Amino acid sequence: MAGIYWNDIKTILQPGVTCMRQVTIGTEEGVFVARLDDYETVKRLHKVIRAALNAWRRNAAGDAWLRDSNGRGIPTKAHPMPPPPRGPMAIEDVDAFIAWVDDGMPEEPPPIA
Amino acid sequence: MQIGHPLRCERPITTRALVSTILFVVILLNFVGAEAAVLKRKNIDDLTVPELEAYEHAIQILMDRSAKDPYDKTGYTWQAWVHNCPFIWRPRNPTSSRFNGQNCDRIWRRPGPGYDESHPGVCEHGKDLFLPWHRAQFYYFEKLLQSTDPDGTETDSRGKTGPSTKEVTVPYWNWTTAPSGDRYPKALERADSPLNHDRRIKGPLTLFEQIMLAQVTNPLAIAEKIYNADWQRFGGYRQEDSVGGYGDFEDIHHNPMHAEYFGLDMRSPSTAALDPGFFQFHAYIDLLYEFWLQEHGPNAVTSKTHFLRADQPDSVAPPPGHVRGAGLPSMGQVEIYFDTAKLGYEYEVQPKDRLPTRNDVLRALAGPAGTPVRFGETGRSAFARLTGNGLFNPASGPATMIDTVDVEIPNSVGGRNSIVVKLSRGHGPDLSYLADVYLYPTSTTFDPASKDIRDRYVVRSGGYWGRGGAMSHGGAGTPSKPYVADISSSVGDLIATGHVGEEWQVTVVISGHPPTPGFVTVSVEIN
Ligand SMILES: [Cu+2]
Repeated sequence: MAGIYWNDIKTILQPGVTCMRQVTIGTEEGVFVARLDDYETVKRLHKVIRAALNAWRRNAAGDAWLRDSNGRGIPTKAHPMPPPPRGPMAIEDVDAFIAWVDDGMPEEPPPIA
Repeated sequence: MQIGHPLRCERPITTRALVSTILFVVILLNFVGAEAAVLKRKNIDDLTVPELEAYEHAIQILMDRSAKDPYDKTGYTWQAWVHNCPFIWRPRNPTSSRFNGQNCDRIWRRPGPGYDESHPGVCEHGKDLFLPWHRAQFYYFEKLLQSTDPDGTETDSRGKTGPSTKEVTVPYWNWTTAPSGDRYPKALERADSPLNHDRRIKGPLTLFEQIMLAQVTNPLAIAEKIYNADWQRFGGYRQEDSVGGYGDFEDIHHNPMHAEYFGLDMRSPSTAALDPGFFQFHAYIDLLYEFWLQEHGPNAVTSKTHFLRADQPDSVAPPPGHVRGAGLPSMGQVEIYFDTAKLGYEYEVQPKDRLPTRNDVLRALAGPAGTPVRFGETGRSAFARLTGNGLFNPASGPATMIDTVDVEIPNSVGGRNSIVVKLSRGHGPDLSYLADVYLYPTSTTFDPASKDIRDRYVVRSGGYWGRGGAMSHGGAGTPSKPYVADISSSVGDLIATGHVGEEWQVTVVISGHPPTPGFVTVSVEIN
């Protein structure tokens, strides 16, 4: 259990909320506005969000982004997010998002039995 | 049992025979009905005068609607936005809008209480949805054209009444053959035609352009892609995939056509469809998609159940099999757009519009022994034989940027995309550019002006299609995507011919419109 819940993820995604409100994404369920402050939307779009966030080059150990001579991240795939010049978000945050997805995207901690 | 009165044929008619006769007639009628509903999309140069007039009339009516109200979904501007515009504030009362409606806007705040958030659409590019998305866009566009003036009684703003638009289809321009006009089909160049457009490059191709664009419009290069059963290589990669993006057709042919052949509005996806020539250009691309589907069937097409984003008018009935999906309105899923007959059209293909055959492709690739040439063993690489030796023309001035990185030939190579040259964009506006990739031994001095060197060592050459202004989001920054050139098969040939462990170099020559030096970094990645 990763111990990461929607509130943590919402904080991580917060800087992209305004920008992504204008973007629509086609998926296998339908077409959605990328509302990054909405739990259901993020759950639904998690594959695309994950691919977009985790789209920068890492070092061999996988725990830091590689940077070019100007200190900017180096994209590895088609739609890296956030886009330059902001560049990749903190690698810990990207890993937290991935861990949350792998954990089944829990909204809240389970109730204590 | 017999039916009472013998007919002239003297053969008694049984109920069974009667039932089958009726069935036959019903089937025949159905068949005729279905047949009538499937219209031909033709080469624009082959349209009769009334056919062209009907198409122009329909386009003019769409444009007239937009002149009255740019937010009318059944008008030309909205239909262009379906391709160009991810977001716009739509005024509830269009006459009060302070926007001219030509450009899709990027305003974060609601301009006033009378505006609603609206998402006309965005073309899908750089992924496997590219071909299906444009086909869906054209389905709606074509139905809309047909409904503009079915009775032929409307008068458009040019003062022309009719002809009927009931059977209008979107004609295609086969841009792999010489244009019938100066630069485009004649029908796009007539001064008084609604298909003419100010903001496109005009006049015959210059000699420089001819040399550069010969590889972009090369039918042999396109034919090779049609015969290759690898869907992703042809059509693009899934948006969830960690490698990939453009399929080969998109960056090698489609992108430079937009940026360098048409230019101006067509140079950016945020304005492209404002040029009515967009529809003739892309109708031919849809025909190429159809050629590929006829060769290989739809099984290998990826993302079949993906929904295609766009806000189309309710007055157009969606194609059979359409389900709305959750969330915003959409054009339905990729898989309902495989069978064009169900969409009401098919292509008329005259001999002049057929692509070279498989054998033509094999012949072009064959070395002296008759077997396919291997990279490095011959004076002309497979890419040079099929397509060309690069888009940069040294006679036109210096390249924007030339960058070289070393690569050691590994002892094995995986499948496609296992070794890629990656052009990563840092900062700045997202503009289109051209990139030629050469792979050569360290002992060779690379000279972009040397035909021999270009012919021998070119591995890939294509274009990146920048998104321009309106599609960017994020204020100062714009989404940037790396341009990836797969060199796996060339490296595979080097491995097979005894070059393992050697130091080779990759040189990328960047040219085209206006990027500045240093705007991309070049790397070679082994996946
Ligand atoms: Cu296009």
